[in-house]
Amino acid sequence: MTVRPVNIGIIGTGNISGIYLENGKVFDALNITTVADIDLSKAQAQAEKYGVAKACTPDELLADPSVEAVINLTIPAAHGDVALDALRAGKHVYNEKPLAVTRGQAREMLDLAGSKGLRIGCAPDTFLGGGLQTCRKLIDDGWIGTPVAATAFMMSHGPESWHPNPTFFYQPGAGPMFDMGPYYLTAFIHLLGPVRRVTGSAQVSFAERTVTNHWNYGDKIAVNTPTHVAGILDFHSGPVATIITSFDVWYGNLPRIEIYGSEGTLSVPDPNTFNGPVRVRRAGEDAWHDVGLTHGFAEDSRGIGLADMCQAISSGRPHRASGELAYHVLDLMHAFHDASREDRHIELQSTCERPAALPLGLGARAVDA
Amino acid sequence: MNRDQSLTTLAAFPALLRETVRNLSDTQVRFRPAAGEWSIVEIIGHYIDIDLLWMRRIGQMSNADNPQLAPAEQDQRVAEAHYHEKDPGALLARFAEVRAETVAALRLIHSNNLARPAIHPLRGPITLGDIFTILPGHDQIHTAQIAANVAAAGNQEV
Repeated sequence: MTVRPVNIGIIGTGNISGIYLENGKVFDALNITTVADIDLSKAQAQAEKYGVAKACTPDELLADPSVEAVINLTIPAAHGDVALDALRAGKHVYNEKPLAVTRGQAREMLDLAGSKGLRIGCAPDTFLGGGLQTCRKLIDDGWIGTPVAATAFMMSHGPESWHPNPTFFYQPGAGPMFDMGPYYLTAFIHLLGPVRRVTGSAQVSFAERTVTNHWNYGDKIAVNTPTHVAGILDFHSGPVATIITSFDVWYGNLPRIEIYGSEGTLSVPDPNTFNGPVRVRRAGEDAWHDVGLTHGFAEDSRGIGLADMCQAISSGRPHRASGELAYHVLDLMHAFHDASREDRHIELQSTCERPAALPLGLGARAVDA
Repeated sequence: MNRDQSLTTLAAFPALLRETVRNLSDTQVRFRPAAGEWSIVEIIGHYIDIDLLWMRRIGQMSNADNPQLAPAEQDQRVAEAHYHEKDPGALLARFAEVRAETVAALRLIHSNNLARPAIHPLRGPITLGDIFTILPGHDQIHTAQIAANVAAAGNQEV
């Protein structure tokens, strides 16, 4: 299949832009023509490093009619505003996670895109990697029977020991659920479909954190968002899942994700990676078995979700890392906190299609056979 | 050859292929015995194409009842991919990746699905279970072709 490359501009040239620029050369559907940043020198540096034709300000990028789609790599608090500006300028948008900070702004984005016939996509796209696609195939092919339950655990003691600027992790709109939850919840929806209702408990275990990184050693951070979030999810398809995301745990010995079926258990790899290991233990077996990956894109393929969106623009099919999926994930993350605050189950107002599995036998540069 | 033997043979083949071409010169791997015939580097590319094709067919046969399988269009694929100009080492590495995916996909075919049928464009009616003999056979056909190319290159001014 011949793929028409989509002309793409990147807004925000921080660290994460490097992998998008690198993988922009891998996928036939991507043609990154422009990079922009409020700090023009940063955009120029990335343009020079990765051979991008044009570096400019975000306003200049949005005014450029040759740019068809925008990768929005700004800070989370700016995701919504930048995306809305790009949509108003008539461009498709692919946001880094989360889609936006508030449900209201995310809904405004989806409505505006819908009214203008534009696409919205959103990270994470790790569920399109070889590890999670192999897990999907195992479930769809019935290797563990009917899924009945699942668990997901992201246990850590926060980023203040290694991140150069850890303060924002402890402010509203961040915390462990908003920071890491999208990987786990997107994997859940990819494997089990959308969620019907949730409940949860969230707490601030330590009101103040002490920075122990190299740059700001000894600084104090006031914690203004829950740092331990425990949630229960009821899926439309039937399973009940448990998720814990925490910045309050020194050490743990829990798996990342497991799916429990009527005929066996699936051990799912870290959803913040594209690779394995994938392991299965079926009823009656005396050991776990490593499963070879049936799909490619097992290396760091960040941007594959964007490539899928750009191919979908050409062919007219739905794209997988969609705005609707990201909105459902955002709604879930808020709902855990709402449930804790309100002492109740929250019926989800949002839903989404379970993203289509990638087909077998894809080449290295495209996501359609 | 039973299913386990087939999987073992298929999994081992990329290393055998690498060993087969390891000491060949660039001239030998790009030598065409006759106009329109493939060079060894094109045969390596063809192995990649055929594994990807069979994986798509596995998906098709698993999800549709007795589907008509698309033809391989092998000459066209080899020409469009410009394998003749490609680095054989990179193609061998890619083939090893693709073959690992093929073996993984074959391993996940349930035994009760082995009889699922399809219509192959050249072979006529086949089943999913037939792939366990078709693919090793295909490997051997082109192994013989590689040997013939090497022999022919030795008899030519290369």
